[in-house]
Amino acid sequence: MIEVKDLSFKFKKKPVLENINIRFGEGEFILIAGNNGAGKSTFLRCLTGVLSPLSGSVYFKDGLSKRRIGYIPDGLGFFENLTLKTAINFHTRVFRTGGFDDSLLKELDLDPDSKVKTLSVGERTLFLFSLILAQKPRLLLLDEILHAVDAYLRDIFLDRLLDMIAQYNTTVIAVNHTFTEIEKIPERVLVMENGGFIIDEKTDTLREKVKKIELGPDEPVPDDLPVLFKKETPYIREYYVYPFEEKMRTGFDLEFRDLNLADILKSFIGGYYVKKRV
Amino acid sequence: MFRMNIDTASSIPVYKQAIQAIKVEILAGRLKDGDSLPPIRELAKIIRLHPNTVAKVYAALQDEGFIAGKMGSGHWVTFKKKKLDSLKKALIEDEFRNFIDRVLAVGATKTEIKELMEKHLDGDHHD
Repeated sequence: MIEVKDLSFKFKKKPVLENINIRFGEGEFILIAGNNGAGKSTFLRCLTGVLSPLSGSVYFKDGLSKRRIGYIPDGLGFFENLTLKTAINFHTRVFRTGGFDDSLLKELDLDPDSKVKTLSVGERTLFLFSLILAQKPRLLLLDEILHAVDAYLRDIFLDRLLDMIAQYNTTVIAVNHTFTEIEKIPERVLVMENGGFIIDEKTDTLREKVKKIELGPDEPVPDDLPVLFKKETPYIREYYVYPFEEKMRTGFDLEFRDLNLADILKSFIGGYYVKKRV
Repeated sequence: MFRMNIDTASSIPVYKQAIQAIKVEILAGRLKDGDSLPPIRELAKIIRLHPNTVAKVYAALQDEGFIAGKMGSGHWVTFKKKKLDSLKKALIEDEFRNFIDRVLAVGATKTEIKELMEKHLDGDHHD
């Protein structure tokens, strides 16, 4: 549905995105992780068209109209001085959407006559999401929005998000630092580093490929073990192995443990900092 | 009604865990013949999975004959005793293999396992 070709972007002569080629299919839920400054937000902005790439292109196939693309940015400085009611009118006119469903506002007990700036960060996120829902989105881009939303609102948001996906078969691309709540949802995971994707895997495949071993204080680390990231304290010696292969279980006399997605992504991001120091 | 614990730290794919969890519900009798299952979008919300993943789970259970489904009327359990007996056997074998793996990992020998097995099975708290 979306095809990104040779996409590059520079900010003040510094390359932010370098020659990205990637495709996203209809109804996919993709999680993008990576260290701060890897280029994740810039990539999303290039997809929305907010930023024009230096070179390369983003194709939307099957007649995907910009009106059906929703984007929730990291900083939410929108419609500050408007009342909710005015903002709704404005948004539905610009995106030429049909009726606005106010059930979410009612659930959150938000007054349509209050100003957007009086809402909490979490409420604003959900308010913007309710505007986007009126667009019947076929593509939704989420830029690290869950961390600022409290647990109660996060729950409401996730319910509505899953409803939306079921209803419109929306493709969702989510940039995230907090994974636990949504970690069962994405079927595909990307890891970004230095403006490019270093990992593009089905979630289930990635889970098979990253394992953890724990060593005792005097046990040596086997030389030929591919260690992605390690954690060493006087009490803990943990090594994250990637790419893990099943035959290693017999090759090494070690216990290879499964990891949750949050730990897997943490080890890739940690691996970046290790490489940077070397 | 649903006790679906999905272990996010397991390398067993979540959809496989969900399939297994529903089978266990049926086997334990908490889901009975003819009971209806939640619509795909509702189950997606209950266990926080992508609706496409839930659809895959229902399709697999349908293929294996544990549930039936019809466009517009959702999904429901189809209870077949023969099927459940073989499933029960498979689950018991799974659990047993896990147990053997764990005791072998702490250094038990085959003879020790056999001895312990007999000792505990002959104990008065088991039939």
